[in-house]
Amino acid sequence: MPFMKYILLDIESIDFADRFYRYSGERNLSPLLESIRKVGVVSPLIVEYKAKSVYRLVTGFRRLQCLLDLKLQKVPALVADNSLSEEELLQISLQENLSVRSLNPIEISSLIHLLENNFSQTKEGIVENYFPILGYGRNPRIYDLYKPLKKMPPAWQEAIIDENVAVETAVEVADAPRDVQLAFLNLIQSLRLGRNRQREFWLLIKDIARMQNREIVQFLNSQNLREITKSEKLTSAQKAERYKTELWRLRYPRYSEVKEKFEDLLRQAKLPPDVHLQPPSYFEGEKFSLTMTFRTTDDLAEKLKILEKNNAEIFPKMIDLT
Amino acid sequence: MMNFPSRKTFIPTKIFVEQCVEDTELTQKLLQQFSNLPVEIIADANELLNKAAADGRKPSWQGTILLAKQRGPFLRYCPGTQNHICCMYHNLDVAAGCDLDCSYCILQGYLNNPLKTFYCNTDDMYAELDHALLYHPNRFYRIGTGELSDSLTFDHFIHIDADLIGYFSDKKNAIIELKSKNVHIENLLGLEHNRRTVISWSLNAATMAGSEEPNAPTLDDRLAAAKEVQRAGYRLGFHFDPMLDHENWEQGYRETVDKIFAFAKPENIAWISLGALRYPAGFDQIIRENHPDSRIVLGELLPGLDKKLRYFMPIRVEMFKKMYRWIKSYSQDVLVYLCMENDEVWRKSFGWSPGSSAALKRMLDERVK
Repeated sequence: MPFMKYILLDIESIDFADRFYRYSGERNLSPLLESIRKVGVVSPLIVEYKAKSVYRLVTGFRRLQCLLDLKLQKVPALVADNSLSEEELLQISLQENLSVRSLNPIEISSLIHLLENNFSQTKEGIVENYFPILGYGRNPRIYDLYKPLKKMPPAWQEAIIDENVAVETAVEVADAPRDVQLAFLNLIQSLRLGRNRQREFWLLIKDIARMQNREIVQFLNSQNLREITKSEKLTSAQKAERYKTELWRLRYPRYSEVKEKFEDLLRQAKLPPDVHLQPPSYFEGEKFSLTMTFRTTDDLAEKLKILEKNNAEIFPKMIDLT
Repeated sequence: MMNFPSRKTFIPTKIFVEQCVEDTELTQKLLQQFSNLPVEIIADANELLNKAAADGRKPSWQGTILLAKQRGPFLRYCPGTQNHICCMYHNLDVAAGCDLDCSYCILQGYLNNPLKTFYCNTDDMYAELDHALLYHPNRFYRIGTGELSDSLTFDHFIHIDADLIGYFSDKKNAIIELKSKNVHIENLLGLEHNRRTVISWSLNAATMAGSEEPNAPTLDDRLAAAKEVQRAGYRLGFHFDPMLDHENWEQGYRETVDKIFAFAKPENIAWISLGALRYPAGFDQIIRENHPDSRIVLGELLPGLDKKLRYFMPIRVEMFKKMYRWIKSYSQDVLVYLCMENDEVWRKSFGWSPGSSAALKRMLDERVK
């Protein structure tokens, strides 16, 4: 490798506290640790000489952690020539990492912070020069989406890395106070909310708390919501559905009232299971939709009879709901 | 200068001039008027507009005006919205941008930059108007300048309204509507308008005017200005759009209606329009960012037939129905219409519907022919 000198380095000569180039995470080191235990360090660390026989780590933070855990003394390393700039070294580090894996969202966030704090890069510079290397083209939205993640509590970061929460949800929650972030994560986990629903729930909760002039945590602790999450009779999916209905009832009270009345009338109509009646979307417009299947003319006649009866009694009430 | 305590007077701080309009009469007039301001001549406005858009709402742009060429048509059909009855209005885009910064203003999403742009190739504009009005003598045009800007808010220095009023004063098949929340009416009072100009104010409940239109003149000042232009013989228009669902909305809107009829003679009112808050999906995010204290996004807004978010229909109907009744209690002759609503909402709110956009157009045209 140009501008690098290969040496066998005393681990203790590395300044562990110096995290100038660090953006990689530390989780899930056990496979790497096992691998190093079996075959040693295959790829040398990259370091730069600081002073007085002390080196700064440029790349290999995860390997170094494993070496420390394994109490090894020496490690193969490449010492960067002092003609290389700090930014060139960061780019070498990036290339080395990206050649074996993608960065997770928290690492990308860390990289953005690192570039801004240690390398005086602007948003435009990062978007222009670094995002293409990461495979994001030159999309400034990625910057806005990923930058706040590093400030999230560790539990959120774990959930993001494990893909249990969507980055889009995390970024919405990023500005909230920490107790709110944790309470909402707790809700996501207890209801096992899918990634699409998380953001919908968050926006509803935030709006309802504002409508009621309450703190979000206080709202999440309200009795009716706690009863749902604590219920032992309901599955996670049923809890999520009921929770959502309750949020909609609070956020859209008049719509929910009409919807409930419609559903009540639909129950009264006692339509056969293969006859489906849908109101206009959000009760906007006048077109109801009716779909049905039948097997024989008798079957059809029977269903039409039921519809006829409802057309005199129940359907007019449905139409008059709005 | 008339006494309107809450008058909002925009003062330019910097002028950009697109090279191709540098020699136009309007540009020269403005450059002379603001000879003390920094002026930058630019080859093409697009680069500047993109830069300003990227900077968003940075205060440094707030006083900047751009004198540019209107490259598209000046006169455009109001786009309306699908599945709704539209009044078939024409917009005349003499300017783009506004200084009033109302929380619900759709320009925040539409224009995407803080510049106040004035289209200075006005010869092209009048040629286009001539073409439309002279070549289609049997068509009637209601034309307004209040779509991409506020018609009066810059008139204390741009002085284009007086020219437009003069132009339309002898037109048989068109009227011009100046729609505003501001009160710069001094230039308009002594003109020969021949009642071919309707001067309209956007109104709201007073509490909403205070919280959602905080940079605009107060409701009372707007109505005082309307009283003055009525005295000068103009026809009046009033637009309750957007109506906002809020606590005590009935009292708020009722009081505004009462204030209108305390001075406005029904025979001078060309029309009163009603429209409820609505916006494209995603636009609420812009309101939340630009106006974090505004509570209008907390309304019961759901996707309508055109996919825009609108108040749940019974809420709209209740608002429109009551407003219609209050207005009609003063005069059966005043024409009240709904902006961008569907046939069902018309019928449920007013007990009747024009049934089509063309029929609504005819009704409105008849008022001012």
